[in-house]
Amino acid sequence: MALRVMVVDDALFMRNMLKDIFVRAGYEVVAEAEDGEMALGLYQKTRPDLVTMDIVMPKKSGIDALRDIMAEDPDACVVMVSALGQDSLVLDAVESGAKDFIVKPFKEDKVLEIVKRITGHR
Amino acid sequence: MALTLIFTLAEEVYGLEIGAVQEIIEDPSLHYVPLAKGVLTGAINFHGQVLAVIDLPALLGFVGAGHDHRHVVLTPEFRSLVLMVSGIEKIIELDLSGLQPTPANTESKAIRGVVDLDDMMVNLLDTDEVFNRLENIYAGIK
Amino acid sequence: MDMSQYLDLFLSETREHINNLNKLVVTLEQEPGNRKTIDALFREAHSIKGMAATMGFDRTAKLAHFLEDLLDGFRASGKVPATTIDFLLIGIDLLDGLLDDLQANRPERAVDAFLRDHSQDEAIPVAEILEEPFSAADIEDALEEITPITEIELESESETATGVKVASYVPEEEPVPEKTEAFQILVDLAEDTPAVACGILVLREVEKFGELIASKPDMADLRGDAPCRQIQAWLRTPLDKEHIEKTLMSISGVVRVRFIDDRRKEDHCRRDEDTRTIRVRTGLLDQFVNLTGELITHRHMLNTATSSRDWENLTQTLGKTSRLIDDLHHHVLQARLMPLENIAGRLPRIVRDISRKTDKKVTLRLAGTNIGIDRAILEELTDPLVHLVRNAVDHGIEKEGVVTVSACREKDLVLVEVADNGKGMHPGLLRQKAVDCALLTSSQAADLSDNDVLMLVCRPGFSTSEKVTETSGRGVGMDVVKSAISKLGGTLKIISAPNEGTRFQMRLPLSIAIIKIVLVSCAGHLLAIPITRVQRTLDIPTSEIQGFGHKRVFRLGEEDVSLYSLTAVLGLPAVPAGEITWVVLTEVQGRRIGLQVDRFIGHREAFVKSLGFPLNLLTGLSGAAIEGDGQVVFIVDPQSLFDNRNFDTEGC
Repeated sequence: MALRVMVVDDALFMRNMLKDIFVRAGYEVVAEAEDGEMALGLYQKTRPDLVTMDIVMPKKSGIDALRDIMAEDPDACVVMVSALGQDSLVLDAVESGAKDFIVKPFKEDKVLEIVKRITGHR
Repeated sequence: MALTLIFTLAEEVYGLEIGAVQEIIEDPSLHYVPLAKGVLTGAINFHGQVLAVIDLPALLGFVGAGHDHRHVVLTPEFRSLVLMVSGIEKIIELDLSGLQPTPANTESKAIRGVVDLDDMMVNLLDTDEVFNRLENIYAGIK
Repeated sequence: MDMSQYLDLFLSETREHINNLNKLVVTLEQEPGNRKTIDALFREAHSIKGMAATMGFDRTAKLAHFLEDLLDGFRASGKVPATTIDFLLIGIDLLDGLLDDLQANRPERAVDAFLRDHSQDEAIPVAEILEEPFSAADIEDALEEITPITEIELESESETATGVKVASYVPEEEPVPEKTEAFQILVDLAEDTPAVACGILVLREVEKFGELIASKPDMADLRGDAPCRQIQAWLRTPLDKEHIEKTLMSISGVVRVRFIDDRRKEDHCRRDEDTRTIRVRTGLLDQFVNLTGELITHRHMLNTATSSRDWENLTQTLGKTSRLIDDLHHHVLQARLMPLENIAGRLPRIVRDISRKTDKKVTLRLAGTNIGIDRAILEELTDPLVHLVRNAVDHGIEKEGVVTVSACREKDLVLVEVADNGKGMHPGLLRQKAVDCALLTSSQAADLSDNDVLMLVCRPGFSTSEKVTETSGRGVGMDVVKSAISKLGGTLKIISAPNEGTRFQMRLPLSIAIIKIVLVSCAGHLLAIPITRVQRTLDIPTSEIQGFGHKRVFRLGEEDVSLYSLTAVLGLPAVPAGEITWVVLTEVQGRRIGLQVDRFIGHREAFVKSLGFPLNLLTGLSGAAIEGDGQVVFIVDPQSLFDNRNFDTEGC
């Protein structure tokens, strides 16, 4: 079964870019959220195998959304998407349960490598 | 059947189950042990462990017995003692079902029983008795 | 999860908690309303409960839970009724007994009778306690307490520091295979990556591979925001390197993964009963890691210097390497140190119980008990220390007084002193006693100095022959105390005067695994004497030695010192001294003597090998050292060599 992914980012551009990467890899993008609040609701509804989560978003930050998701599902597989220079936010995220992080701008190979490792997906 | 090391003390044939033997060593350098008396003839450096070498024929009262240049190192369960014997013969399968009680007048020889082997009597060494004797000798020394 | 791997840790920690419980209850008895003490007691019981429940030791957990509830009740009321102290202590003893059972691998003893008997008075519904399940939070608390500790196992037989095995928390359930390779991994991180987060991810991943022995930086360092561009991890794992490399490379920010083989293929031994544990500060382990890293660099430098025949560089690097080894040695020894508190913690309870029994009012003062002593020494010191404290309460103090246990460093030694302010010992009475029980003739007794007379209480004959009375009772079991201290390479000194109390001073080496020795030769044999036993080495013109046979003396300052030939004491053929007589100045039974040897060979550090049967039975030998060429050199302890020897009648 294809890996089911949820992409969380306030920028449509980023969402589409990630979506394309995942679709090319044969994954199924089951949900897209543009802020943290939306992310939790969609997570509960779709239960994806993987979440990519932007850190800085309106309404609720990516880290708060991550914490919500982790509280909901301690086994959740969440990868943070950060920009350069957000070291302390990334650390917060990792300490809160994020499985890894992707730094923008990212390379397709690297993203898939990370996803494969943390989901155990071939 | 049990694999048994056959060795001699003076003219007597002894057996020791191979499970009690850690190694047979040849001509180890023997080091001086202060205040050691009697049958404690020295110590050896056995892979970094300091082990006591015991003159077994002398301990069991065989006067004037010769010594093989090979010594028997017992396993740690048998306190890693190093035993000097008169001769190391061979290792054979010994049928212990024919174990007979210790004959009379052999109390001094530390025998657990005797087994017939090709018309030869093999004395099975009683290691506990060996330890007891050593304890009696050395625990008393002040 | 297989909990058996935590048993040792559970036992040692719980014993510590029990120790604290005992101490706190005794404190509480003195100040029944002390809120802090009650709180502390509650926490101790709570910790034991959680750990025991996690381990699945139901009765231990049940009893601890009962004590916790009881204490919680007192917390609410803010004080503990005097009547409760005794049964708290009984309950603590029962806990201790349960641990004995667990340690001996027996089923836990029954606790219900105790719970029933003691709940009635306090109107605590036992049934409720017994049935109430432990909450997940309890268990989490307990796991939290158990897991973050780095633990080093030392094999108790060999005191070897090289045999150190490190065990740590393995999060996965998968069993570690019998033989797995240990190696070091170096993970380089990219310049621009959030290094700390990345480091944490790397360590999390590494932990999944198998057993993470140590890492630099470790999680704590990372969270402390240690700057890092490289993670070093020491790992034991069955997985192949390719897999490890691939996995680690996929983590964000990882740019390179390298392996350095650990040459030792370690056996992953089964834990047997004889393995003991020591807890080591992570900081200390970090220092090990640093030092090891530096040694590896130095090895490389040595290789380079050798292949390029750069002798000057070689000499320099050898010098640095030997300093590093000294440093490593120092740290390894430190890892073995445990605070005296570990055994002194039992004393308040002991003093309380004896003073109760003997109807005395005794205050115990502890000072300097945070001093570190080698684990092996501490274990052997427990009985002598307890014995001296018992004696002090039993015989030193008359009705009311203070017993002080103190410890301090004296150069390379630790001084542990047990002092009482009782009425002291009377040398005159002791002399009389010695004559009465035929240990000495009256002229011998008169010749002894007061100092020597006090040491008479350590003579076996002196102690057992007497009923316990004010003065003579001091000797009960003192011979055992003295020989235990001797075995550790220590000395016992007694200072006492009528109406001035008594002080028992034990001087102990800090460490016994590696000691400094003086090498001497006697009749062609090499012998070693611990340097702690040697006051000085002297070369005296033979003409200045007076007397002959066993009555030889030489002048040292203001003092006439008796001279004995070590060669003769050992029953070796005497070699006549030349113009110079070589003498080792030492102290035996509280007096200074000279031991004549044929030659001094030198002094060095030696790793002490313990002696196997029947070498361990020989008096006067405290171990052996192995020389560079494999020669075995026995370590002779003059003190025990001369034990039970009467100087005046038996000459050498």
